[in-house]
Amino acid sequence: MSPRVLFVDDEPHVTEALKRALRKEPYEVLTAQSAAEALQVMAEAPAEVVIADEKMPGMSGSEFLRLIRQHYPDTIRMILTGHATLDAAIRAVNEGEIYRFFTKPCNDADLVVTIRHALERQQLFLKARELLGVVRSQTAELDQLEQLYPGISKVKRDEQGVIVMEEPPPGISFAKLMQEIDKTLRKEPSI
Amino acid sequence: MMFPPVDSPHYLLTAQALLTGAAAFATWLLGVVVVVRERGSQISRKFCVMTCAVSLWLAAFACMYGADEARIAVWWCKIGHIGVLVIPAAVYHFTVTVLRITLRRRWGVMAGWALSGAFVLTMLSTDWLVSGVRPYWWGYYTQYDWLNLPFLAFFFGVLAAILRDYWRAYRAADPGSTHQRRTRAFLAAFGIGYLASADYLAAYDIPVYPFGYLPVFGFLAVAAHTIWRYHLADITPATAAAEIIDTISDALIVVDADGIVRLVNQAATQLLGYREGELVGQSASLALDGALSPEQLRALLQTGGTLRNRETAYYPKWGGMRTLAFSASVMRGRDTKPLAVVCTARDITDRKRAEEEIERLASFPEENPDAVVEINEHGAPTYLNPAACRQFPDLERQGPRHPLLDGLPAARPRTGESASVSREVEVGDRVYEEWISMVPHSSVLRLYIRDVTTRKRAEEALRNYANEVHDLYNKAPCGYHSLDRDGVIVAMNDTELAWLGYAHREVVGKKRFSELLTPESVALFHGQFPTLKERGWVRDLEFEMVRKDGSTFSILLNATAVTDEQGLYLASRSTVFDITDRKALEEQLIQAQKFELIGQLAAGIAHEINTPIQYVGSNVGFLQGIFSNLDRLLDGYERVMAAVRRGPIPSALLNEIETLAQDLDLAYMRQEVPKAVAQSLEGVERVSKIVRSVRELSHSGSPKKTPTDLNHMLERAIAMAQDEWRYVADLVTDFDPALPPVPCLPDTLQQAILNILVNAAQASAEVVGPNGAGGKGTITVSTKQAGPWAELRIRDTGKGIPRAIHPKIFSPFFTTKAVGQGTGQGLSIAHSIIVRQHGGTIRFETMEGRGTTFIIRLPIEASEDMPAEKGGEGDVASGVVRG
Repeated sequence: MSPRVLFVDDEPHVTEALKRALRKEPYEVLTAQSAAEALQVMAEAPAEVVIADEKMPGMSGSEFLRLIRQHYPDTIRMILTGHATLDAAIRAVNEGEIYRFFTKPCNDADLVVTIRHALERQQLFLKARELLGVVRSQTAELDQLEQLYPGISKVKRDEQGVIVMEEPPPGISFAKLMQEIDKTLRKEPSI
Repeated sequence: MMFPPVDSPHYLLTAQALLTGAAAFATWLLGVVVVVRERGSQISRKFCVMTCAVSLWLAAFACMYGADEARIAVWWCKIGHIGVLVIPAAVYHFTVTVLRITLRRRWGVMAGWALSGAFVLTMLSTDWLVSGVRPYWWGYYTQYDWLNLPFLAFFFGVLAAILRDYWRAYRAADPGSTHQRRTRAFLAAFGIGYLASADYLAAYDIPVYPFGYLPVFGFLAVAAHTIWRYHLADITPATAAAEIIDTISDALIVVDADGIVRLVNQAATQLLGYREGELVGQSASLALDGALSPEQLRALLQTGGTLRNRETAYYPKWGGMRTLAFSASVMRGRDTKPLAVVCTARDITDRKRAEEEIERLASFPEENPDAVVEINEHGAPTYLNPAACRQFPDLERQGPRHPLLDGLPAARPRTGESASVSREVEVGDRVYEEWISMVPHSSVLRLYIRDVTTRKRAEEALRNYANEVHDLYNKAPCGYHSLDRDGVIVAMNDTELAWLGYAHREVVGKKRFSELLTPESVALFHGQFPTLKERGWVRDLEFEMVRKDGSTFSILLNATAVTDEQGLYLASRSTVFDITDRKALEEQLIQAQKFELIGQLAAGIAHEINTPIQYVGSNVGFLQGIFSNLDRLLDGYERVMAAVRRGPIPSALLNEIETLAQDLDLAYMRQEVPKAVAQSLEGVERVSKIVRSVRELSHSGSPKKTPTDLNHMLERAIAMAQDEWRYVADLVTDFDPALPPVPCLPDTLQQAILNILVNAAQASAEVVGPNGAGGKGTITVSTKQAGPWAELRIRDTGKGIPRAIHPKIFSPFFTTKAVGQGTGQGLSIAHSIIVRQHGGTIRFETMEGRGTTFIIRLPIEASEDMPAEKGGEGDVASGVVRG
């Protein structure tokens, strides 16, 4: 499933033109004419990147992006506005915690590059988070083993650094132990 | 009435006619002789009248007797009867006069004459008295009709009265006196004379020969004898006194010892205004009213003194007041006892008045508070009135050397000139006006000298004051002029003339005020001048005036009307201020606000420009990509074409082209390219529209008004302010497509409209709120023609304007917004642009909670009969609250 990029602008010509300009990009371009419509689209299937105009009837862009940050924190948020006031920029950064602030007219190439970077970044971020999860679960498993077999997660060494193997506790065979480990690891799918 | 013929063939000389004619002549001769002898005295004239009547009768009858035909006889008969009919009156009058009883019998005399006259007229005009003549042996004789009988009664009645009066007089007269004898003689004479009435017998068919001339001869003889012997009247003190009493001009009143008036003369009755009967026999108090009281009268009678020329006021019966000189003396009888008081009175009213007048005139120079001096031919004073002595104590001593007499009498009026000349003379620190008057037929000059120092000084002060006012008017730091009811300049001060570069004579009375204005101002003038005439004032009117050299300058004009008692316009009083600088400042202010407005709109305008550029850029990028693909396709196309020309197309090439076309997604291209192009073009149009509008606004255009399509202007303004209203309101337009072009300054009018539009958007935004919670409002922009005005309405659905701030809406720097959001000049500038620059009006209707409508009216044509909006510009700022 390819990533999705959502453009929100009350001016349909803008979104249409962007759709045309970005049609070769490796992501799906979605459009919405207002904040309300955009929230509907998001509710159906969250987009990876949301790029909103600042000045829109009903709800301003920064306000909209604040909502997106609350409800879809993983979505990357950007502003593309023709009304580039300092006030709007400050609000967008502080409340919407945006990734990038574009002013109209903006170069399509800039937009393309930025969206690609954003998507990569998001994927990296997601990967990092996933890996962190693996590490966490493995650590938890080890802790469990340690409880069952105290000292199992520790390696004894003598003065020369040679690992000292101790006899397993009575009642547990080595083969059985390996089985246990294998079972624990299999719970989590491998990355 | 034909006069009877007098030539002899018609008459027969009979004895009867000759004898009668002789009697007639003798009678007439007696009358004439008596008048001559008595020197025409009253009595002799009466006697003559009597004899003339008798002689007329006899003479005419003589002709009648001698006439040879009846017709002529009738004429003479009638003429003779004129004499016959007046005989009783004439005889009676004479008798009364002879017997000195004229006063007592005057009514009788008048009645006698009146009756005689009546009989004469009746006899001449009718046949009632004399009906004709009848022939007798002695000639024709009268035939009488019925009226003769009354006449005979009258005739004999008078005869009886005469004889009685003579008889009485005869008995009353002193025995043996001339009067008695004369009376007796006349008694006899008349007795004989009246026998002539025997003539009547023949007329009454008693055949008696008319011997009337015989008794007449007898009467003549006796009367002539009497008159020759005794004269007609005696010249006695008594008769003289009677004559004197009646003829003196002084009033005479005799009062007896009992205070009863016994005698008054004619002058007294005239003077006092009472008839004799009202005075005589009555108490003296009426006649002597005020002149002599009863006490004084008694005292006079006792002491017997006299009173001479006592002046006394008397009020005659007919009113008014007369001044009488009254004298009185006591009359004594033979026994020296006082019998009566004889009073005389003379009317001295007129003399008195003349005397007073003379006295009054004589006292004039003496009482004159101004100096009066008379000088002789040497210039030496001969008379000084008291004022002259007081004012000029040195005059008499210095004589001709005194400044007042300096140059006199050389300075006297020359003959032929007016009788007086005047000159001003300074004596010390005073100024005198000296009238030099010539006395006719004399070398004396009279000088009337008046101190005119105060008047001179007042005149000078007045002149100074007038100069000051004149100066104030002409050199005032503002222009000042007056216009008559036709707008012609009737006055203009120097300041305004200097501004205009005209001379006084070129403008005043020559030019209309409108001739000094630019065409646009003329329209305003024609709109406002009737208002001035009707309402009596106009305020803060701005005109452009044209100098003589053709350059223009701006003025601010205030005027009030001068009216007559009926309130009709007479002239204007207008003050004029040169406001070129202020105007320039105002224009600068408008410009400054324009920049503020542009600043305010800038972000929005940028947004409106950036958005289309955004998608135009994207679309062009898209088209560029498409075209590079198309290029490849076109390459394939060329190769295919080349291959087709060579022969059959290799299938490898066809496959390659097909693959390429598939890659290019031609269907998508065909669908999207036209849209991209159309949208791009639309975007470019949007951008250029806004840019044009901005340029229009920022373009500080010409000061000339140009006819402009208001609808178009509104569209651009709406586009330019789009960013202001788009997020807070829907905009509805309702334009009148038939609206004629309106002359205006496009840049400033655009500015005004934008200000109001932005204001409407801001009002809508207040309702919408920051989160769009209030929902979008509606801004309605409409145009229509309202008579000579183009009306433009901008309505919003904002909160409305609170009542308290209605008067401040168009005030500069008034704002309801927070500090930093606008300077509060928008509506103020809009007001001054619409009202001052365009001569239009702006007002608003508002309702709290429902919204506000601004209504702008602009004159469609700078026509001459453009009506002034009711209420004038002063009332525009007040809003109307719809309930």
